[in-house]
Amino acid sequence: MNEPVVEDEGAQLWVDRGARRYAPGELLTGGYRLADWRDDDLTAIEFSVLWYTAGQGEEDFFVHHFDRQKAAVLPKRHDETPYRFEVVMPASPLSYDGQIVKVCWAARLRAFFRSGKQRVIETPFWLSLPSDKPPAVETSNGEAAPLR
Amino acid sequence: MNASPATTATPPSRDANPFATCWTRPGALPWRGDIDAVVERLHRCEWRGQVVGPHGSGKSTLILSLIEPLREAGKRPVIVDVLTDDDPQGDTLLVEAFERLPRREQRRRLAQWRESGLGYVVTTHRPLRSWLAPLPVVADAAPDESVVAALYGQLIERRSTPVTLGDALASFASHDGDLRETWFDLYSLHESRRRRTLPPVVAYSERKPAPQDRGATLL
Repeated sequence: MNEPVVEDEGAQLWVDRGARRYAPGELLTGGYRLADWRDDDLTAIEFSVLWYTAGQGEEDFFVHHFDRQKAAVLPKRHDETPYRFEVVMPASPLSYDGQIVKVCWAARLRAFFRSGKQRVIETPFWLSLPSDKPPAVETSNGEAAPLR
Repeated sequence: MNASPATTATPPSRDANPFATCWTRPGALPWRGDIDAVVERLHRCEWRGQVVGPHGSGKSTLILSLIEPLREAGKRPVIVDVLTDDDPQGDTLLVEAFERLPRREQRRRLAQWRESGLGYVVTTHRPLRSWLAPLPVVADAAPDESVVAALYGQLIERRSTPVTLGDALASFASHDGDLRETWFDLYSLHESRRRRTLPPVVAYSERKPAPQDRGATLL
Protein backbone atom coordinates (compact mmCIF):
# COMPACT_ATOMS: atom_id res chain seq x y z
CA MET A 1 0.00 0.00 0.00
CA ASN A 2 1.55 3.32 -1.01
CA GLU A 3 -1.30 5.61 0.05
CA PRO A 4 -0.63 8.37 2.59
CA VAL A 5 -1.65 6.76 5.88
CA VAL A 6 -2.34 8.54 9.14
CA GLU A 7 -1.61 6.53 12.26
CA ASP A 8 -2.34 6.69 15.95
CA GLU A 9 -1.30 3.89 18.30
CA GLY A 10 -1.26 1.55 15.36
CA ALA A 11 -4.73 2.55 14.16
CA GLN A 12 -4.59 3.54 10.51
CA LEU A 13 -6.78 5.51 8.12
CA TRP A 14 -6.21 6.07 4.44
CA VAL A 15 -7.93 7.16 1.27
CA ASP A 16 -7.16 5.08 -1.81
CA ARG A 17 -5.14 7.10 -4.27
CA GLY A 18 -5.06 9.70 -1.54
CA ALA A 19 -2.39 11.70 -3.30
CA ARG A 20 -4.61 12.06 -6.34
CA ARG A 21 -7.69 14.16 -6.85
CA TYR A 22 -11.25 12.96 -6.55
CA ALA A 23 -13.88 14.42 -8.84
CA PRO A 24 -17.52 15.24 -8.01
CA GLY A 25 -19.65 12.10 -8.35
CA GLU A 26 -16.64 9.84 -8.04
CA LEU A 27 -16.53 7.02 -5.50
CA LEU A 28 -14.19 7.84 -2.63
CA THR A 29 -12.72 4.60 -1.32
CA GLY A 30 -10.32 3.78 1.46
CA GLY A 31 -9.96 1.84 4.65
CA TYR A 32 -8.96 1.83 8.28
CA ARG A 33 -7.59 -0.51 10.91
CA LEU A 34 -8.26 -0.15 14.63
CA ALA A 35 -5.21 -2.08 15.88
CA ASP A 36 -4.18 -1.05 19.41
CA TRP A 37 -7.21 1.16 19.93
CA ARG A 38 -9.03 -2.03 20.86
CA ASP A 39 -6.75 -2.56 23.84
CA ASP A 40 -8.07 0.64 25.43
CA ASP A 41 -11.61 -0.60 26.04
CA LEU A 42 -13.11 0.77 22.86
CA THR A 43 -16.86 1.40 23.05
CA ALA A 44 -17.65 2.82 19.60
CA ILE A 45 -16.13 4.27 16.48
CA GLU A 46 -17.44 6.95 14.15
CA PHE A 47 -16.31 7.26 10.57
CA SER A 48 -17.17 10.40 8.63
CA VAL A 49 -16.36 12.17 5.40
CA LEU A 50 -16.71 15.91 5.79
CA TRP A 51 -15.59 19.28 4.58
CA TYR A 52 -14.62 22.20 6.80
CA THR A 53 -13.17 25.62 6.36
CA ALA A 54 -9.86 26.61 7.90
CA GLY A 55 -7.98 29.87 7.92
CA GLN A 56 -8.64 33.20 9.52
CA GLY A 57 -11.96 33.81 11.18
CA GLU A 58 -15.04 31.71 11.79
CA GLU A 59 -15.04 28.08 10.76
CA ASP A 60 -17.77 26.11 9.08
CA PHE A 61 -18.17 22.41 8.43
CA PHE A 62 -20.59 19.88 7.00
CA VAL A 63 -20.65 16.12 7.44
CA HIS A 64 -21.26 14.49 4.08
CA HIS A 65 -21.17 10.86 5.28
CA PHE A 66 -21.45 9.46 8.79
CA ASP A 67 -21.30 5.94 10.14
CA ARG A 68 -21.21 4.86 13.79
CA GLN A 69 -20.44 1.36 15.00
CA LYS A 70 -20.60 0.11 18.57
CA ALA A 71 -17.82 -2.07 19.90
CA ALA A 72 -20.15 -5.06 20.07
CA VAL A 73 -20.34 -5.31 16.30
CA LEU A 74 -16.63 -4.80 15.68
CA PRO A 75 -14.67 -7.91 14.71
CA LYS A 76 -12.32 -9.50 17.20
CA ARG A 77 -8.89 -8.07 17.90
CA HIS A 78 -7.03 -10.70 15.91
CA ASP A 79 -8.95 -9.86 12.76
CA GLU A 80 -6.82 -7.20 11.20
CA THR A 81 -8.55 -7.13 7.84
CA PRO A 82 -9.03 -3.43 7.16
CA TYR A 83 -12.52 -1.97 7.16
CA ARG A 84 -13.37 -0.60 3.73
CA PHE A 85 -15.50 2.45 3.01
CA GLU A 86 -17.08 3.77 -0.17
CA VAL A 87 -18.67 7.19 -0.38
CA VAL A 88 -20.00 8.96 -3.47
CA MET A 89 -18.58 12.47 -3.51
CA PRO A 90 -20.94 15.42 -3.98
CA ALA A 91 -20.66 18.15 -6.59
CA SER A 92 -19.51 20.81 -4.17
CA PRO A 93 -17.84 22.47 -2.39
CA LEU A 94 -14.58 21.81 -4.18
CA SER A 95 -11.33 21.83 -2.26
CA TYR A 96 -9.86 25.32 -2.18
CA ASP A 97 -6.44 26.31 -0.93
CA GLY A 98 -6.90 30.05 -0.50
CA GLN A 99 -4.77 32.45 1.47
CA ILE A 100 -7.55 33.63 3.76
CA VAL A 101 -9.80 30.60 3.76
CA LYS A 102 -9.35 26.98 2.77
CA VAL A 103 -12.07 24.46 2.01
CA CYS A 104 -10.78 21.14 3.23
CA TRP A 105 -12.16 17.66 2.61
CA ALA A 106 -11.21 14.87 4.97
CA ALA A 107 -12.02 11.36 6.05
CA ARG A 108 -12.14 11.19 9.84
CA LEU A 109 -12.15 8.31 12.30
CA ARG A 110 -13.11 8.97 15.91
CA ALA A 111 -12.85 6.35 18.64
CA PHE A 112 -14.69 6.46 21.97
CA PHE A 113 -13.27 4.67 25.00
CA ARG A 114 -14.86 3.58 28.24
CA SER A 115 -12.76 6.07 30.19
CA GLY A 116 -14.49 8.90 28.33
CA LYS A 117 -11.38 9.55 26.27
CA GLN A 118 -11.65 10.07 22.52
CA ARG A 119 -9.04 9.71 19.81
CA VAL A 120 -9.31 11.12 16.30
CA ILE A 121 -7.34 10.55 13.14
CA GLU A 122 -8.07 12.41 9.95
CA THR A 123 -6.73 12.25 6.42
CA PRO A 124 -7.32 15.05 3.92
CA PHE A 125 -7.94 14.58 0.21
CA TRP A 126 -8.70 16.72 -2.82
CA LEU A 127 -12.13 17.14 -4.36
CA SER A 128 -11.72 19.04 -7.61
CA LEU A 129 -12.88 19.15 -11.19
CA PRO A 130 -10.88 16.92 -13.54
CA SER A 131 -10.14 20.00 -15.62
CA ASP A 132 -8.62 21.88 -12.68
CA LYS A 133 -4.95 22.60 -13.05
CA PRO A 134 -2.94 21.08 -10.19
CA PRO A 135 -1.47 23.69 -7.87
CA ALA A 136 2.20 24.55 -7.85
CA VAL A 137 4.39 22.80 -5.32
CA GLU A 138 7.82 23.70 -4.10
CA THR A 139 10.69 22.01 -5.85
CA SER A 140 13.83 20.90 -4.09
CA ASN A 141 15.56 24.16 -4.96
CA GLY A 142 12.77 26.10 -3.28
CA GLU A 143 11.07 27.38 -6.43
CA ALA A 144 7.42 26.88 -7.21
CA ALA A 145 6.82 24.59 -10.15
CA PRO A 146 3.57 23.41 -11.68
CA LEU A 147 2.79 19.75 -11.20
CA ARG A 148 2.71 17.55 -14.24
CA MET B 1 -15.70 9.64 -14.21
CA ASN B 2 -11.93 9.76 -14.04
CA ALA B 3 -9.94 11.92 -11.70
CA SER B 4 -7.17 14.13 -12.92
CA PRO B 5 -3.62 12.78 -13.18
CA ALA B 6 -1.72 11.90 -10.06
CA THR B 7 -0.43 14.80 -8.02
CA THR B 8 1.58 15.02 -4.86
CA ALA B 9 0.33 18.44 -3.74
CA THR B 10 -0.89 18.25 -0.17
CA PRO B 11 -4.66 18.72 0.04
CA PRO B 12 -5.76 21.77 2.02
CA SER B 13 -6.29 21.01 5.68
CA ARG B 14 -6.17 22.74 9.05
CA ASP B 15 -2.59 21.50 9.34
CA ALA B 16 -1.55 23.62 6.37
CA ASN B 17 -1.04 26.68 8.56
CA PRO B 18 -0.04 26.44 12.24
CA PHE B 19 -1.45 29.91 12.89
CA ALA B 20 -4.98 29.21 11.59
CA THR B 21 -7.82 30.25 13.86
CA CYS B 22 -8.54 26.67 14.89
CA TRP B 23 -5.11 26.53 16.58
CA THR B 24 -4.93 30.03 18.00
CA ARG B 25 -8.47 30.99 19.07
CA PRO B 26 -9.24 31.37 22.78
CA GLY B 27 -9.36 27.95 24.36
CA ALA B 28 -7.21 26.29 21.69
CA LEU B 29 -4.03 27.58 23.31
CA PRO B 30 -3.47 27.19 27.04
CA TRP B 31 -3.19 30.04 29.49
CA ARG B 32 0.54 30.36 30.15
CA GLY B 33 0.29 31.91 33.58
CA ASP B 34 -0.22 30.35 36.99
CA ILE B 35 -3.88 29.32 36.83
CA ASP B 36 -3.80 27.89 40.37
CA ALA B 37 -2.72 31.28 41.71
CA VAL B 38 -5.64 32.94 39.93
CA VAL B 39 -8.08 30.41 41.41
CA GLU B 40 -6.55 30.94 44.85
CA ARG B 41 -7.01 34.71 44.55
CA LEU B 42 -10.59 34.19 43.42
CA HIS B 43 -11.22 31.94 46.40
CA ARG B 44 -9.94 34.63 48.76
CA CYS B 45 -12.23 37.19 47.09
CA GLU B 46 -15.36 35.03 47.52
CA TRP B 47 -15.18 33.98 43.85
CA ARG B 48 -15.64 37.53 42.60
CA GLY B 49 -13.07 39.41 40.57
CA GLN B 50 -12.02 40.92 37.30
CA VAL B 51 -9.45 39.97 34.66
CA VAL B 52 -7.92 43.08 33.13
CA GLY B 53 -6.00 43.36 29.89
CA PRO B 54 -5.93 44.99 26.48
CA HIS B 55 -7.26 43.46 23.24
CA GLY B 56 -5.76 40.10 22.37
CA SER B 57 -3.93 39.69 25.66
CA GLY B 58 -5.49 36.33 26.51
CA LYS B 59 -8.41 37.29 28.75
CA SER B 60 -10.80 34.91 26.99
CA THR B 61 -8.23 32.14 27.13
CA LEU B 62 -7.83 32.67 30.86
CA ILE B 63 -11.60 32.65 31.38
CA LEU B 64 -11.90 29.35 29.52
CA SER B 65 -8.93 27.93 31.43
CA LEU B 66 -10.74 28.65 34.70
CA ILE B 67 -13.62 26.29 33.98
CA GLU B 68 -11.94 23.05 34.96
CA PRO B 69 -10.16 24.31 38.12
CA LEU B 70 -13.40 25.90 39.31
CA ARG B 71 -15.25 22.63 38.81
CA GLU B 72 -12.54 20.87 40.80
CA ALA B 73 -13.10 23.46 43.52
CA GLY B 74 -16.76 22.41 43.66
CA LYS B 75 -18.16 25.38 41.75
CA ARG B 76 -20.51 25.33 38.77
CA PRO B 77 -18.93 27.81 36.35
CA VAL B 78 -20.82 29.01 33.30
CA ILE B 79 -19.70 31.24 30.43
CA VAL B 80 -22.05 34.21 30.13
CA ASP B 81 -22.73 36.53 27.23
CA VAL B 82 -24.00 39.67 28.94
CA LEU B 83 -25.96 40.76 25.88
CA THR B 84 -28.04 37.60 25.54
CA ASP B 85 -27.92 35.58 28.78
CA ASP B 86 -30.56 36.90 31.16
CA ASP B 87 -30.78 33.83 33.37
CA PRO B 88 -27.44 32.02 33.51
CA GLN B 89 -27.47 28.55 35.09
CA GLY B 90 -24.48 28.22 37.39
CA ASP B 91 -23.04 29.59 40.60
CA THR B 92 -19.94 31.25 39.16
CA LEU B 93 -20.39 33.44 36.10
CA LEU B 94 -17.49 33.83 33.69
CA VAL B 95 -18.40 37.02 31.87
CA GLU B 96 -16.64 38.11 28.70
CA ALA B 97 -16.62 41.63 27.26
CA PHE B 98 -18.37 43.11 30.27
CA GLU B 99 -17.47 46.56 28.95
CA ARG B 100 -20.04 46.23 26.19
CA LEU B 101 -22.65 47.14 28.79
CA PRO B 102 -23.22 50.76 29.76
CA ARG B 103 -21.74 51.68 33.17
CA ARG B 104 -25.12 51.90 34.79
CA GLU B 105 -26.09 48.44 33.55
CA GLN B 106 -22.74 47.07 34.72
CA ARG B 107 -23.42 48.30 38.24
CA ARG B 108 -26.95 46.92 38.16
CA ARG B 109 -25.79 43.47 37.02
CA LEU B 110 -23.00 43.27 39.59
CA ALA B 111 -25.40 44.23 42.37
CA GLN B 112 -27.96 41.70 41.14
CA TRP B 113 -25.39 38.89 41.00
CA ARG B 114 -24.06 39.81 44.44
CA GLU B 115 -27.52 39.78 45.96
CA SER B 116 -28.17 36.39 44.36
CA GLY B 117 -25.05 35.03 46.04
CA LEU B 118 -23.35 34.29 42.74
CA GLY B 119 -19.63 34.38 42.08
CA TYR B 120 -18.47 36.16 38.94
CA VAL B 121 -15.34 36.91 36.96
CA VAL B 122 -15.58 39.67 34.37
CA THR B 123 -13.07 40.58 31.67
CA THR B 124 -12.35 44.26 31.10
CA HIS B 125 -9.84 46.39 29.25
CA ARG B 126 -9.47 48.81 32.15
CA PRO B 127 -10.09 48.07 35.83
CA LEU B 128 -13.65 48.63 37.00
CA ARG B 129 -13.59 50.97 39.97
CA SER B 130 -16.30 51.22 42.57
CA TRP B 131 -16.25 52.82 46.01
CA LEU B 132 -19.21 50.84 47.21
CA ALA B 133 -18.19 47.38 46.06
CA PRO B 134 -14.63 47.24 44.78
CA LEU B 135 -13.98 44.31 42.47
CA PRO B 136 -10.51 42.79 42.97
CA VAL B 137 -8.24 42.29 39.97
CA VAL B 138 -7.47 38.55 40.07
CA ALA B 139 -5.32 38.53 36.93
CA ASP B 140 -3.62 41.10 34.79
CA ALA B 141 -3.39 39.62 31.31
CA ALA B 142 -0.19 40.99 29.86
CA PRO B 143 1.69 38.44 27.75
CA ASP B 144 5.41 39.00 27.25
CA GLU B 145 7.98 37.63 24.82
CA SER B 146 8.50 34.45 26.80
CA VAL B 147 4.78 33.66 26.43
CA VAL B 148 4.96 34.31 22.68
CA ALA B 149 8.01 32.06 22.39
CA ALA B 150 6.31 29.27 24.34
CA LEU B 151 3.10 29.47 22.32
CA TYR B 152 4.99 29.73 19.03
CA GLY B 153 6.94 26.60 20.00
CA GLN B 154 3.73 24.78 20.77
CA LEU B 155 2.09 25.81 17.49
CA ILE B 156 4.97 24.69 15.28
CA GLU B 157 5.64 21.50 17.22
CA ARG B 158 3.75 19.34 14.74
CA ARG B 159 3.38 21.67 11.76
CA SER B 160 6.27 23.11 9.81
CA THR B 161 6.38 26.75 8.88
CA PRO B 162 8.76 29.16 7.17
CA VAL B 163 7.87 31.70 9.88
CA THR B 164 10.60 32.05 12.49
CA LEU B 165 10.50 32.89 16.17
CA GLY B 166 12.15 36.18 15.24
CA ASP B 167 9.18 36.94 12.97
CA ALA B 168 6.83 36.13 15.82
CA LEU B 169 8.60 38.39 18.30
CA ALA B 170 8.85 41.23 15.78
CA SER B 171 5.15 40.97 15.01
CA PHE B 172 4.29 40.85 18.71
CA ALA B 173 6.32 44.02 19.31
CA SER B 174 4.75 45.80 16.36
CA HIS B 175 1.25 45.01 17.62
CA ASP B 176 1.92 46.32 21.14
CA GLY B 177 1.51 42.94 22.78
CA ASP B 178 -1.72 41.98 20.98
CA LEU B 179 -1.44 38.22 20.61
CA ARG B 180 -4.52 37.88 18.44
CA GLU B 181 -3.15 40.32 15.86
CA THR B 182 0.22 38.58 16.09
CA TRP B 183 -1.30 35.23 15.08
CA PHE B 184 -3.19 36.90 12.21
CA ASP B 185 0.07 38.41 11.08
CA LEU B 186 1.96 35.13 11.25
CA TYR B 187 -0.84 33.32 9.43
CA SER B 188 -0.51 35.70 6.49
CA LEU B 189 3.27 35.54 6.59
CA HIS B 190 3.16 31.75 6.51
CA GLU B 191 0.80 31.78 3.53
CA SER B 192 2.81 34.29 1.52
CA ARG B 193 6.10 32.49 2.15
CA ARG B 194 4.67 29.06 1.53
CA ARG B 195 3.31 30.17 -1.82
CA ARG B 196 6.50 32.05 -2.59
CA THR B 197 4.57 34.82 -4.18
CA LEU B 198 4.50 38.47 -3.40
CA PRO B 199 1.37 39.72 -1.72
CA PRO B 200 -1.01 41.19 -4.28
CA VAL B 201 -0.50 44.88 -4.83
CA VAL B 202 -3.03 47.09 -6.52
CA ALA B 203 -1.48 50.26 -7.84
CA TYR B 204 -3.31 52.92 -9.75
CA SER B 205 -3.30 56.65 -10.11
CA GLU B 206 -6.16 59.00 -10.57
CA ARG B 207 -5.97 61.88 -12.99
CA LYS B 208 -7.49 65.00 -11.56
CA PRO B 209 -10.18 66.25 -13.89
CA ALA B 210 -9.21 69.34 -15.82
CA PRO B 211 -11.04 72.51 -14.78
CA GLN B 212 -13.15 72.52 -17.96
CA ASP B 213 -14.27 68.93 -17.20
CA ARG B 214 -15.58 69.77 -13.75
CA GLY B 215 -19.29 70.09 -13.61
CA ALA B 216 -19.66 68.80 -17.14
CA THR B 217 -21.80 65.97 -15.89
CA LEU B 218 -24.10 68.40 -14.18
CA LEU B 219 -25.24 69.89 -17.45
